[in-house]
Amino acid sequence: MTTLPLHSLPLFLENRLRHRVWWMHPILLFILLQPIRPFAYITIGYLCFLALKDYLSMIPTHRMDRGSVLIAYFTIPLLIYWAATDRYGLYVIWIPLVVFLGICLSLYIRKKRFFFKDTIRPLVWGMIPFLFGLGHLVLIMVTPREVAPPLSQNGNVLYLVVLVQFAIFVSLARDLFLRPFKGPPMFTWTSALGIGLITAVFSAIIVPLFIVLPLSYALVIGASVGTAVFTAQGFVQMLQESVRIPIHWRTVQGHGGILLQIAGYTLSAPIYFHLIRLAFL
Amino acid sequence: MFKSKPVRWLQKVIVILIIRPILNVLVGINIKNQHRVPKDGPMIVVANHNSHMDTAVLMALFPLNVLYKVRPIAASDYWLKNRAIGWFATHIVNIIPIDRRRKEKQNDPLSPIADALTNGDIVIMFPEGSRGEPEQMSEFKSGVAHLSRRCPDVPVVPVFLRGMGKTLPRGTSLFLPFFCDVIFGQAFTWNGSKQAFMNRIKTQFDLLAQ
Repeated sequence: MTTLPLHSLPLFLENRLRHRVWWMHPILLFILLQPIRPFAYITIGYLCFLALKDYLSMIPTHRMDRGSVLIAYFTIPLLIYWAATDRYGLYVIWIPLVVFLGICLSLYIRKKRFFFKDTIRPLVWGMIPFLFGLGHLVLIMVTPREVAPPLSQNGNVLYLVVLVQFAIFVSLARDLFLRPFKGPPMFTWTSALGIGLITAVFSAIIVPLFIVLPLSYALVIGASVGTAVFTAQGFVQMLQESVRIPIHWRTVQGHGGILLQIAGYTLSAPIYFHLIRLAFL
Repeated sequence: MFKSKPVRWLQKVIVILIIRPILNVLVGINIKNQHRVPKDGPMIVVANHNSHMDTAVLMALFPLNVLYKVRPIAASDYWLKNRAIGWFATHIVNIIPIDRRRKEKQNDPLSPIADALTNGDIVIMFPEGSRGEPEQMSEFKSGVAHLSRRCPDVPVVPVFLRGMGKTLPRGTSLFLPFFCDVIFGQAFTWNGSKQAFMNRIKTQFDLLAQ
């Protein structure tokens, strides 16, 4: 028996692969902004599924985890349903409920108590950013409908998407112009601060195009989203390095590589959702 | 193998409506070197084996017009023990059944495969013999070398499969979606020596796995 070797790829190819799926973002934007809302919710649910699957494909799983993984997959439609019907309370407690009730009960009944800590830990690490975090896109689309101006529902989403894309662009520009052909990006405090500041300034400039928001809020939202995008990319890179997969290895053919493409939304969507609520409510 | 039109049609429908959507939407297959997918037979496709998904994935990758020529080699003691599954295996999956527990030495297990290759079929072989442990590659058995020696002009295409062992491993019927890779290698033919041939297959798989 020989264990199958993990992926390896020359580092200089990674930046190139990173750009091969740029078309995914305009498509995502179109889907989010089109008027048939359920279609957008289903798309976000499918994105959550792809992201969780990408994550679970990378981490080692035991045969005993299969029931728990199935439960995690079935969480997605319900989570999206709670978000689409604006039941934030249920949305917030749903993952803890599934993890600590559904999965625990399942392991307990199947007499697999020994696998508890090995199963819960990796699943929670996947479900929090890729289901709970990303699902906030749906919440952003449904709230705050009572206080925002008429354009707000599309304006909200568009504003977030533009900010996230800008932060990704700044991050990519830094990699391409400052560190070409030197492999995966470096994550430093200076980079985090720089991307946060640049995104904050950009946010303050573009905010009147999308929603009515005080300048101070626009600056805070810009800085938070920029830093969140940067952190999320770092999270995915850490995750992939921990299982010895180069960061930009899998592209969207066969869906792989989805984590990198949507990483920016996993942390920025919840932060943006709460800051916008803070501003309006 | 002669197949009636309705059966060929049913085979295509199953691949188009069931297998391909499951693989593309739920599983997510990442195909590398797709230009090396055989367009016509005769051909021996050699792959590592971890799951029942392996056969489904390989079948779904072939063009529909040659689907009826694709013939996986499978154990008759497993696939033909039930009549309904047996019908599905022989007509839809189009297997060449091989008796793994044959007692009479005079029955040549390779002759139906060689006949299929003579007819221009694409034969799928799993030289490990069985599915084994998930994501582990067992030693290859030498049946493929014997077959290649018998049909020296038929190209052998190595295909490395990764991830299917997680999606549907041996010993469970619970299908779970995980990303899978299918990597096609360079075709080669019989090189005159069994040991050299087996070494070549081993080297190709090591390269594809990297």
